[in-house]
Amino acid sequence: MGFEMCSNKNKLSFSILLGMITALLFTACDGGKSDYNPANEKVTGESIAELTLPPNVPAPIDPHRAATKLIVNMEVLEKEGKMTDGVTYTYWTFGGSVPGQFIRVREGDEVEFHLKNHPDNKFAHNIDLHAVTGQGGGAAASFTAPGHETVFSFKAINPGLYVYHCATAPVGMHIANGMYGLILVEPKGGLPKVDREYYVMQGDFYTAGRNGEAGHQPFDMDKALAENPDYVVFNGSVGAIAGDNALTAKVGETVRLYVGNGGPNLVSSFHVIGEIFDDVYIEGGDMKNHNVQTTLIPAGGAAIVDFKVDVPGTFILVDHSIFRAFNKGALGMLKVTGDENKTIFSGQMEDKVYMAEGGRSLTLPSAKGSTEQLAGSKAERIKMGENVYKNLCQACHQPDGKGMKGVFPPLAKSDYFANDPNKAISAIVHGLSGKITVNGEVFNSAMPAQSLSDEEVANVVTFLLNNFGNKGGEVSPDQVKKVRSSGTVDKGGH
Amino acid sequence: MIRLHYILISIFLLVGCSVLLSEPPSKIEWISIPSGEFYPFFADTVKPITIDGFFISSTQITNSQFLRFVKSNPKWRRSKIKTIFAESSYLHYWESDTTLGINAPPNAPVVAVSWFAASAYCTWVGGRLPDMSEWEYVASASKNKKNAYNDESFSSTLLRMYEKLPKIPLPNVGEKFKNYYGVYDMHGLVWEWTRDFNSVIVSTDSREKTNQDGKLFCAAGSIGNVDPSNYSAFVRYSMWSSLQAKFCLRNLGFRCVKDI
Repeated sequence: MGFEMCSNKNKLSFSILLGMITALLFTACDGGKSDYNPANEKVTGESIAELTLPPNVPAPIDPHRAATKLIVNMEVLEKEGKMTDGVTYTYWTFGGSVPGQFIRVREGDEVEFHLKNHPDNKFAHNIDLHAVTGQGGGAAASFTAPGHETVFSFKAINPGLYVYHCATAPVGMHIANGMYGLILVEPKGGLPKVDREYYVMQGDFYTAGRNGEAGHQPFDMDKALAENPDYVVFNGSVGAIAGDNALTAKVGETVRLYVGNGGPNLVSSFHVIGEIFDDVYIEGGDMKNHNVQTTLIPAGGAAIVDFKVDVPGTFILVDHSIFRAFNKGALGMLKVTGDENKTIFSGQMEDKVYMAEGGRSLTLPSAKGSTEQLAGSKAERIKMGENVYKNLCQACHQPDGKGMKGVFPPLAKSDYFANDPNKAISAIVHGLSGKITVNGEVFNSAMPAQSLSDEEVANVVTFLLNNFGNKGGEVSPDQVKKVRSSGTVDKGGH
Repeated sequence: MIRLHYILISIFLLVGCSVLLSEPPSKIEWISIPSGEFYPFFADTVKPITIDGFFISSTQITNSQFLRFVKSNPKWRRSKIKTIFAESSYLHYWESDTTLGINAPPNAPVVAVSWFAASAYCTWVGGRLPDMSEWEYVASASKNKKNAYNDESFSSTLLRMYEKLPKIPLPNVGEKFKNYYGVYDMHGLVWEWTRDFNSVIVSTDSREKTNQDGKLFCAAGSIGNVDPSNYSAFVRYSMWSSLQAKFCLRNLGFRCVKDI
């Protein structure tokens, strides 16, 4: 009987122990996370939110900070600014900059949003923050006439990186003039720590004049409708984050870019030349991709990219729809300083001569359509020579024979071969490099030898002699043959 | 002899007093706008509406004209006006209740006046504020063409004028944009009050479809307006729908109309 009682007691304590273990297992599996709902988190305290001008962001939020009430004071300013050298544009801005000031809050925070429309502004404005769950993202509640201030409040119930923009009619024009920015809603506990954080936002601009046309440029409605921008830039103007305004980092640091795309129209293929994104928070949400070269950022969307910089250099930020980068301004810079790492990147190790088989360097393929038709007369020779010129020579020496200053010597009224057409023949069959003087101007370049037949050379030199203000004359295929075998007439280098 | 003098002096005084007590000549030049057909921007159908003929003031009402009004009507002076009729920025750029000062050139348009004050002035001169359709009807005229609203170049020109709207102290009226009717500055100087300014866009979010009013509601892509690419019209209509009757804005003035 004593034994039975003992075993019962043991069974009981065992069951309790089992129950406790099971309970623990359940809570461990749960992790406590699914209990957290930012929509229900109560806020404590109240303070003014720190806003920053691009390319800077406010400091990361203390991971232990409870949800709080933040007051955001955002002023709309219409102001004239520089798009690029010699070109000004009337920007409509949140907080005086394009993109507008960066807002940083935490999920669970309550934001009291004050939108102030400066009394000197001409237009009514409002704001739609993509972080807001509610009518119009706040647009209806924040519709503000000049000289007025509106207030509304929202709770940040989803973490992520969100665009905000003006939504007053005509919406496309308000956005096209620069009324966009980013608001970061940090998850509870914050994002992984990095050494540097920067704020970059792409936008497309539509001006009456073409890219680079000087003066004050008004907004062009037709181009905006056709989605044909003149400028595609980071942070509101050409060179806003390049040259002296480049972003900076040191070798070994981790860099995070909060990248937005205000549009209004274009999608961005965001890439940093010479770097690979270690982490990409796709579309500014929770999902992370790794080892990404180029990430798509939708118009009205954003992404967060993290990468470690391992070697020094200037790393170019681009929209890889490449004509936008090199011809419309979608180009920024990240300058990284520090020690080299030759294993990761050596730089150029050597540059040596490469000789194709046959021993002749600097040759180009022969002119198109070289049927060996013989010229019957000087006039015919000139006509056939004209075809050679058009197909081969005019690309450099130009259709008017005037060449290009400092690069390609003129053939028009040329004193180079005026007294000795053999010099022209020699340049064509042997090539010509080194310093020469033509019509008083010094050229120091290299013309490749051309693979033309004797007939073709005779034709084109005769054409030259009788055009472009030159004195006239005729050259025969035999003459060409002679020059070919006797070598370069003018060795250059004078 | 003395009696004659007394009579003469009395007559003189009587005439003088009647001149002083009656409404001073307003010096408003009224331009006749003949009746006609017009396609308002917010039309439900593509049918035009008929606008009856009316007179419109050739320019916006100026600081000096409004000064005469407040001198005769003290309850519309800055220090005396009821807050229900105008917010605190009413005539803030004037030097005092009855003096203009350097920020208010006499011939510049009067601004920072509420809809109530503007309406009262127009009543005082025997008229009223224009309806939106009347205002737009006159505003659709370019320099040489009666109705230039369908001209893309006109809409672009207007957008560019809006980008350059001047700041206080404002330039004089009647010196810049003169349209086909001979009416000045319908564009390019200040925004203007209308009698029914808030009747069209009910929603303050320019993208949503309203339930109450099926007319204009949206930016490009809306189906309630005739021409979604007419950005200059959107800009004006947005401006009007952001206002409340007691607002006093630095770039908002008015002109008056008179029925025939």
